[in-house]
Amino acid sequence: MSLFNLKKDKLPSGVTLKQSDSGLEVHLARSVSADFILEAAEGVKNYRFILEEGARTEVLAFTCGETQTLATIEADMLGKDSYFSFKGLSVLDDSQNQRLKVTARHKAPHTTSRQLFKSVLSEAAFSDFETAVSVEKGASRADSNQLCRNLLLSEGARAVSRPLLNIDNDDVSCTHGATTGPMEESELFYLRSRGLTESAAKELLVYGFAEEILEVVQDTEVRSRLESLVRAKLQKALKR
Amino acid sequence: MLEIQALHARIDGKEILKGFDLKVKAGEVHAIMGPNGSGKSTLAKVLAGDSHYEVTKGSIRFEGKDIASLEPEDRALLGIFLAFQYPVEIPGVNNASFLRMAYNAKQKFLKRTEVDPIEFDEILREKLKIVKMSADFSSRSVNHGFSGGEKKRNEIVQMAVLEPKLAVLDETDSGLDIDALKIVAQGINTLRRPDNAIILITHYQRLLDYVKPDFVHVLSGGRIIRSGGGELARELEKKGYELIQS
Repeated sequence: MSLFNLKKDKLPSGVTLKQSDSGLEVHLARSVSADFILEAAEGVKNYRFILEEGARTEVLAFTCGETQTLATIEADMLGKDSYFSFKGLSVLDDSQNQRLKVTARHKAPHTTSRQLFKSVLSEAAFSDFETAVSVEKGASRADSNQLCRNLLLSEGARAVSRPLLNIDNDDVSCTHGATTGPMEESELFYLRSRGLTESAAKELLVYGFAEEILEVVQDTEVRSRLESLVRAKLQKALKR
Repeated sequence: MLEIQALHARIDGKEILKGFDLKVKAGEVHAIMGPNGSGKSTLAKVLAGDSHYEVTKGSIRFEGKDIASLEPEDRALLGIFLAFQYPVEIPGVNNASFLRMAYNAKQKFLKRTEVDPIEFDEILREKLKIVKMSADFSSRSVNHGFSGGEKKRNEIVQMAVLEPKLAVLDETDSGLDIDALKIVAQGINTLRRPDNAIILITHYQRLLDYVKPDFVHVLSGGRIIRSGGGELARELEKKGYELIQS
């Protein structure tokens, strides 16, 4: 998958941008498929994706070390068979805090949305993730999934996850889940029982946790940059 | 190789093993059978060093060394392997990388040369054949999205890679259909050698139709109440645990 950076890259045909009061509007014309990468470091805070019939987008969002971020990402699936996916990773420490709100609006039949957000929090970091899905009356066979996983590496770290569902249709499949907690003891024990030291096992688990999002990035240059950013940050968190 | 004496172990303050004894020599296969709640899985976890379980009395000696207070990784390096009843799913952690780390930890412990990903790929490829796993398995995350049968086969792959002296297989047969059971059993038979030992923990006799144990022990109430050869498993199958206990 190639990822477009909305601030830097020339966008594919069928994708148009409009700056509005509420943020940056990204319009995907009929059957257009394009994926985007958003980095908190780059400053734009609010996005609205508009998807016409058969349009598909996957949006990746990374926050890695900004002191305070506040962002909203919305998707309006106006056309049938459109698809919106959000994958987010935040690695925060110190007293960094983040509020992120992602909303997927199903406004046409056979629309699909996926949201997966992960955070790794250490020291006194704080993450607040609100994930909303709304399904309008005519949007039959809407299919949505929301998952939020927060990994807390220290006692002082905190996370809030708020899944919201607003469904005005019977014929839908909507699932959501959220987990918040320290590293799974069962996972640690499993790895250690194979001969890995406790610290090696922890490292592997934390990288693995982040990797589920990072592995989506196929552009090797972007990926290795993000990976080294995340690694440096995680290394610091694990040393404590 | 393994000598357990009068072992008592508990979890959450509840005593599960109450005077468990077992001696296992190299080259032997022991089956431990028993009803639910008899302490089978506790035994497996205690041997592997799960910190949730506390050994309160007795001893576990492995090759003459008391291992009861060792960390799980130290037991693994000495050559103890537990095939989990419920292998843990770890999304994001690549199967092959994880296995190579485990393999290299062992190589290092044995003062042998560690291998790079390409060398390890060769090793893994051979081991996958033992349980008929396809090569794409190595690019997947550890047990993540695996079917029940694939998870159990993955445990056997790990056993094949790590070549333990003592393998404890905790209900490796549970949840397997007959074809998968045969593959897993064949895998275990392939790995059976005069210089290693296997403890098969199982609820049912059916695995023992394919992997012939030298000894069968019946566990009940945290202790072994009867020991015998392969015929004991067949007797259990006919009479059920209740009759044996009475």
